[in-house]
Amino acid sequence: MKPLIAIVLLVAGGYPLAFLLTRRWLLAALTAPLVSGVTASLAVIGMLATEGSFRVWLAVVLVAQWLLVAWRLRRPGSPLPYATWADILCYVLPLGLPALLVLAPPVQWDAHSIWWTHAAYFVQGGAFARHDMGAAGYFFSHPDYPPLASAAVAGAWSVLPGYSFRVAQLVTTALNLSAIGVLAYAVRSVTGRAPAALSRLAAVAVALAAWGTAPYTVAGGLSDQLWAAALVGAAALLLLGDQPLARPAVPLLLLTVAALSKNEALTPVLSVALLVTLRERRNLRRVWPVWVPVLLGGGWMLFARTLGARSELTTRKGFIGLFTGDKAVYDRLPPTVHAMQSMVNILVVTAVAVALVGWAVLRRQRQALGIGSDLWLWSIAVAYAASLVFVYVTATGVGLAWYLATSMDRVMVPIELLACLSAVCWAVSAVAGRRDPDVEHGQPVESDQVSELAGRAAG
Amino acid sequence: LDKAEFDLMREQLHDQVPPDHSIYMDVRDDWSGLWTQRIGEFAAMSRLHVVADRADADYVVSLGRDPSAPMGVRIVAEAAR
Repeated sequence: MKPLIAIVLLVAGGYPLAFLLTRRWLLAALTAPLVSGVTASLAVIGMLATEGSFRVWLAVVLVAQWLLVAWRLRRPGSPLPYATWADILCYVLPLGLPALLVLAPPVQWDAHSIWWTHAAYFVQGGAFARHDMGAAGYFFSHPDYPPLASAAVAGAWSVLPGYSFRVAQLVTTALNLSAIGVLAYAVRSVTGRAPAALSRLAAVAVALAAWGTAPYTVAGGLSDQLWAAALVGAAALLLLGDQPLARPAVPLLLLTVAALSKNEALTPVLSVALLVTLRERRNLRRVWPVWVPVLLGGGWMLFARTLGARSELTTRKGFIGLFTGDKAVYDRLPPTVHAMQSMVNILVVTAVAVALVGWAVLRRQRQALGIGSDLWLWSIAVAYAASLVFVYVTATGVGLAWYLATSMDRVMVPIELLACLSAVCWAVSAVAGRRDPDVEHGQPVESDQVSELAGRAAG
Repeated sequence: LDKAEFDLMREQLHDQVPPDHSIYMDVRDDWSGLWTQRIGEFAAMSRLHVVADRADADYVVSLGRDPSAPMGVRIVAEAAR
């Protein structure tokens, strides 16, 4: 019973703000766990800064959030398109089958050693958590990792005492599924001018790819799909979407979730912010909010360092060795690249080939659908891949073979999702451009948009 | 360790060391880090701090042989001073 109560609390905690952002009952329910995760993260940051109680900070942040919602809900707002009950069922139902992996026992190594250990010391309050984050005995646990996934579990454990691992597993899984579901919504939005069935199929295809290279992590208590799906969803809405800054709340939420979920997200989050700034360079006054997630993610890294949090992976020797030509560092390069290739080589080569063919023959159809340039996605993928290579070659504090074997499948999820999103957008351009002559003239065929316009006219 | 074994080991530590004390882990030959990491996790749940120096500890935690226990061992905590 406790795990189900935890899920209800996770949805209920973030639901008011999620509804304010989306003005859709079902999309708000899908988004609410991510809002709860960000809320719990802010409570952890406040608690650590003041050495206060986590329960008190969680209550304060929740009440502040609900007051904000009560104030802002009085203003009229239009519902987001592409979130009818049929859309939401299309996003959620196909995820049900792979989500059944949550029935596996909660015994994944990193779930215990990282995310639930952090959650346990967060529950004990600010002074206790600050001590443990800076303690050498916990460097194995990467105490510098951002707090979102652990904060959500700590919130559940605060309300439902007993440190149930099943509760922790379900909360983490709900966060992952929420991010994957909102990623599906993002794909549906950017392909919204295509026929609805095709656009929904595209959304589900990209969402299901989240189980590709590391299927055991989605429901195992890990957070790799959480930040990867959130990042790719934000990238889709901000870089492929038409007028991305007209309704920026959902993509900014996704970008914030990515920045507060894992260290390796910071480079791609920074990439997205830079690329959005470049894309919207004629609209710079409205771009600044995309830098807020960058500041939050970077701010957490600096804050954690001031508390003494360090990871056993990062070593000054490896970093210096990169610039002094240290053979021990450079010998790590070929196996790292080989491991990356072995995970996603066929997928990436195929997606690049599809992109090149698409660029040659489908540009007009893509433009007519209002889908932004594919180069944005590949720029993020290249920057992220480069950051991964940097981390693996400079992490001389751990054996490379072990490090690659225990993590490469998980850290490749964002590359996999970006490649799938690229290929799917070209596939939609090909099919929609061939089947629907209206698309050539850029006319939307989405009934949601019609109802939205009608609603605006009425209200 | 399966879920039941996780819970059992956690209770063993919780039952032997009262909250707000510090423990030193005297776990030898832990090449995989299994016990170091699990006891570290269970310590946070029991509101115990893990210290790196035995002299700073209130309790020393080690693994005792017990053929009937998970993986043949049980958590043993003894007062350090």
